[in-house]
Amino acid sequence: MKKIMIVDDETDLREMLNLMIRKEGFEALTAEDGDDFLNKIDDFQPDLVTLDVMMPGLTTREILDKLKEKKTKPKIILLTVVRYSEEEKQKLYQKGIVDYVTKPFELDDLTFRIHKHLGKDKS
Amino acid sequence: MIHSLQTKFILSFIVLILVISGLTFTYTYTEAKSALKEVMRDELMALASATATQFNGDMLAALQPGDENTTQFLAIRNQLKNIRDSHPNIKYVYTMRKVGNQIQFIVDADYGNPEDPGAAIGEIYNATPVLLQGFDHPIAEIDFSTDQWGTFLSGYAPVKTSSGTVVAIIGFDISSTKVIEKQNFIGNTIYVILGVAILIAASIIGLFSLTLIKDIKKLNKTTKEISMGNTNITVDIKRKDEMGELSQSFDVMRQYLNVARKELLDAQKNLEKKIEGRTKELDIKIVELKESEIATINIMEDLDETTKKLGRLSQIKSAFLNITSHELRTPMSAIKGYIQMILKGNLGTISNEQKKALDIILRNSNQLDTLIQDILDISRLESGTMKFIPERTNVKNMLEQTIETMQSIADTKNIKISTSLEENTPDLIIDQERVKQVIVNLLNNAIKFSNEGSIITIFVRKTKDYVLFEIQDFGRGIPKDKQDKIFEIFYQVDSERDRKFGGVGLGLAISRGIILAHGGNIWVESEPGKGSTFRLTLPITPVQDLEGKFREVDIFKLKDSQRAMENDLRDKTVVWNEPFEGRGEKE
Repeated sequence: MKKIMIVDDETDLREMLNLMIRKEGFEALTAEDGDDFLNKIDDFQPDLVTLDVMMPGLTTREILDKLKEKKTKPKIILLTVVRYSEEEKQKLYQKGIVDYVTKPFELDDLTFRIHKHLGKDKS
Repeated sequence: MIHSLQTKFILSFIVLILVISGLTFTYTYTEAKSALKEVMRDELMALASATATQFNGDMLAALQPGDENTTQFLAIRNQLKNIRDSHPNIKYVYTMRKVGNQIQFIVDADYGNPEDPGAAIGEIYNATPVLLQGFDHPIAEIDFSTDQWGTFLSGYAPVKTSSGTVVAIIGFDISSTKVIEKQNFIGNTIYVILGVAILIAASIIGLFSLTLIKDIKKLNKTTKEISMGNTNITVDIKRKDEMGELSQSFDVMRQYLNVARKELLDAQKNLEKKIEGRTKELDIKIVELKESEIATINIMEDLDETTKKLGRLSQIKSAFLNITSHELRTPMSAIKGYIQMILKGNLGTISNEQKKALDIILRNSNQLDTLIQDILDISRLESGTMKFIPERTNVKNMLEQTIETMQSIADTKNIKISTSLEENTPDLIIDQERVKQVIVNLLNNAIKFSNEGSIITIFVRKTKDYVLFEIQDFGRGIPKDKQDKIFEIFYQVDSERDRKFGGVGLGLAISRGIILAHGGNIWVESEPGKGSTFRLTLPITPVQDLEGKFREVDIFKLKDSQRAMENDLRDKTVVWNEPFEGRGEKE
């Protein structure tokens, strides 16, 4: 079973995503901020991470930099509110980000993208 | 210059002397030489004729060869010797006579001289024509003649008997060596005389020229002094020649100059006084100017400060809007996510009534979400922080995609959307998503206010600098007095009625902001009851840099309350400059 980590400081959204992802048939684990995420990642070893860009504590940049020191190299989908230019998208792809969704996202859109990057294989 | 003048003087003087002395010497020497020869010829002739008269021709005529030891011979020879010895110029003295066609010696003063033996009686001599004439009258050779004894200048005179018959000649020879000796002496004498003359002349001329040069130098020095400004110096040259005249004229000129200079100095002093006066005035002006400059600098600094503040303010605004956006949208995401999950049946089966209720909740959530988005857009446009992402856009593709998203809504009212696009429409550098948003908004309005089964047409064509979009509907139209106001914020043509259609009057204001930011324009032509045509232009050459910031849009003025809010936020926010810059601190 593919494993997904949900990193978001908003409890309600985090739990909604947790529920949604489990219902989609993935194994899920949540983290409430960057530090929490980095502490848990090597134990859980997720295949994919949904990462909120605006959280207290570590900035997204810091999280991505510290992620380099970790053994686990998950695919990352950013949850953001801004639009990115092509140049910015390229920067993101270089950092290991495979996709992004703009809040408020349609649930179907997010699940489509998760499946796209993990494949239909749910084993 | 003076040095060179002096040199020229001396050089030309030397050349002159050389030429003159050369010519003089040549002439004098040649003349002297011929004169000397004449003198000698005269001497020879005089001596010959004087001696001839003293001689007894009878005795000479009687002497025959072999008589060399006779007393008569010896007496004559001694007489000749004595004559010769008393004339130091004479080398040889001799007597000769004609025997037939031959000229023969009679008595030679040197006969029997062991060192230089002379001729004996009867010895034949190869006579010159002059010698032959000597038998007629005293004569001298015109030039030197040479025989076995050497080269000589000779003179002859006839010797007569007591009866007056010419029986012989007496001849005197002056050696050419003697003549040359004399000539050399004359030459040397001329040399010496010329030398002395040249020396004297040179001294006189040299003295003249030296004093002249000295005076020229003096005059030159004075000229220099004057040129340096010392016009009081006098020219100390006391001469009565042209040089003296020149220096006098010069002095007169100097005096004139002195006067002129004094006048000039006075004028200058006057001018200086005037300038001083003006300078003082100018100084005052400068001080005033500097004061105003300082004031200007102060203003500039203030302005700079203000600009910085504004820049900071803009960043704060941007951060504020991003945070607001995040804070508003996150709960919306949770709400919509749960509704969608429930509706999909992910959380268990739901009844039809529940589904109906959830549909309404979802629709209202979407409306709320749209409203949030619109408000944020308006705020971004107003604060100049709306992020534009310009990219090359094919107008036809963009229109097709836009219409595709609108198709389902149009279908609900059975409205046909047709497009007409000119072939030569160029690609545009625009924020495609934002322009799509404008067209969606216009189409939305058109659909909203059109009757069922109506038509909406989109015309696109190129003008000189723009691409013009026309969106025409045949709906209810807008009254003339309200056509300008519809682009204002929160404006609705008919509040009661428009509410029914949804929307709060932000769409056109946002559209206008987006189009203005692109450097284009948007307006409407409409007739109530007949429909409306919205026109918008987008420039073919994009305004501003493509890095996001288009034109500042003045939708409405910054409100004081907003400013207070931004001040509040200043310390609590971190500016978002980059895509993944986190907020850092959360309230």
